[in-house]
Amino acid sequence: MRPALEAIAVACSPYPLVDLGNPAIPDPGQTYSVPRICRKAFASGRCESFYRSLDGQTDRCQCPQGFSVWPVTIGTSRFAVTAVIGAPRLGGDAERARAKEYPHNHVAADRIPEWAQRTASLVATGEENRDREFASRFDAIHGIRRLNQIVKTNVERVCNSESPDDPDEAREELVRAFRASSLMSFQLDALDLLANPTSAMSFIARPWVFYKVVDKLVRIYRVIADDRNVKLTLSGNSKSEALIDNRTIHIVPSVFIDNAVKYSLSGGCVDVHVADEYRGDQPVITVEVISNGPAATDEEKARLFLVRGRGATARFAAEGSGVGLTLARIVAEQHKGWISAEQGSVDNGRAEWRFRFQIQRASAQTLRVAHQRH
Amino acid sequence: MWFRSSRLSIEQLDEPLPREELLRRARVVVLDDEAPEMLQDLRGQGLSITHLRSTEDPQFQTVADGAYDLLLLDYGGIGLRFGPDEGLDVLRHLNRVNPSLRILAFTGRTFDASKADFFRLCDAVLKKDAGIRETMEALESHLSEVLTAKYQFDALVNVLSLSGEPRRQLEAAFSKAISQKRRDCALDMTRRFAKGASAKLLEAIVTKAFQLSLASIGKDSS
Repeated sequence: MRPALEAIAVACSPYPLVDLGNPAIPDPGQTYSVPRICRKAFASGRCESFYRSLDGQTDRCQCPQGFSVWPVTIGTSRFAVTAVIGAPRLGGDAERARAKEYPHNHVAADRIPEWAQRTASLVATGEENRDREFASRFDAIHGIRRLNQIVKTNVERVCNSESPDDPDEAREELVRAFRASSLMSFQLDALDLLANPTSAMSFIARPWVFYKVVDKLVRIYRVIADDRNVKLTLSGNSKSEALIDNRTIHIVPSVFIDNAVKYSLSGGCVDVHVADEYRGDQPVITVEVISNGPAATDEEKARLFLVRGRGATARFAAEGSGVGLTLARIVAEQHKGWISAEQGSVDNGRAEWRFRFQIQRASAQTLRVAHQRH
Repeated sequence: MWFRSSRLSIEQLDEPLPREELLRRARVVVLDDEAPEMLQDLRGQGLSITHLRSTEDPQFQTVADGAYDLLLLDYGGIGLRFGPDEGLDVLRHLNRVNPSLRILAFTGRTFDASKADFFRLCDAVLKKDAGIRETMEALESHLSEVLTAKYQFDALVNVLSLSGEPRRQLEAAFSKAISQKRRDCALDMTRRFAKGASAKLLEAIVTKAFQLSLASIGKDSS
């Protein structure tokens, strides 16, 4: 996908443009149209090889139809300004014929490089500003993370000294503080991803037992579940490995469990189940979070993972930003997994919800290759 | 003569060391402009861990020379000696000169897309806010993979770029040297294949492979 600023600059171009990375019929400019002859010539395949040959070229040249062409760079991509007759002319019969046929497509040749330079510089400045904005968001998150790291290490240190054999047996307040701090680490990961979702495009996968991730999350979320008088249970015996990006994978079960606990009524139950299953003939690991929560309309349910926001009943039931499931979808797509939600029968505005995530189990061959890499 | 009688080769010596032995042998180094909060806690658990603030530290060369088994590598603030991308450039350098070193990305900024190559080229990612226990578990898990005779021998073969017959020759020489408890023989044979590889690095890897083989055989025969 083209970066946003580059896409805007290209869409606002006064001149017809061809993307040299993927030559096709020129996109019409805001001021200069695309002559009919270009469409015909492209359909016959005559122009594509010409545009492909412009890779690395910067000087003005002439296309097979006689139009002037300027290869230019805007943002990170290369384009050709085309379908105009530049003055002074380059000469030739084809150009003379085009000049007569398309009197509205004449342009002073020196305008094009000037436009290209101004546009490229505008896009570069915009990109720099955007990068600075991203950097300041990251710095803020990083600062909080560092503070949280100090808190977490100190609390863990006290837990270890109180109960060296099993720190989980230390004073309850300390264990809760440690888990709250761990929870904060997870939430900061989600914020990081929210600040820059394109980072999930880089999938850095290594074999890992998915159950371990879920087990850790369940232990941490028990702090919140206990506070809300919600019973949080984990079942299943999957020990299989999957190719997992351990920077992001916890976001999917974390969002499921967080929502389930948040929307459960006091005295309710949240069941988390991890199992080795088959999806068709494909071996997968399934994590399913079952709970009772606010019902959604069919329209809300259809948009659940697609659009940031929350259903009317959910908004009434608890606070939240409504971004969690969108992030979960990003991470599920990153792992080429399957994410879904099912709503059972509705009673008094509430329903049984089953949120499911499935990830392909790593085959013996995949594991062998992955382990050999290390 | 254990090797001859059981017909086992160094390639089969991939059993992880017991925890105590693992912690006794392991050498970990952290390259980070700030001392990690949990440094003392990790040392308290018996781990030998050295902290270097930047690539300008006089000890940095020992990282390339094979003095350590595992490196926790931060991205920023560690020096521009190897290029403007700091951590990424150090990683590329170390991967080239010392492929036996296990390198974990050790950073708080886990989702910066511009650092994707750094995360991809590292052997794994360890978050700075992972906590003492989780960090220790991750380190032990990686160390138990690295501190085996097979891993070190494979690393040696990798450094020497050997395959086919030369690799078999080195393996046979190693097996013989181990059965005779003659590290010098293994080292001599290795030097014959050395070409341009660093002498210090080769000696370090041969020593580790040799000692781990003896530890493994000793354990098996006990």
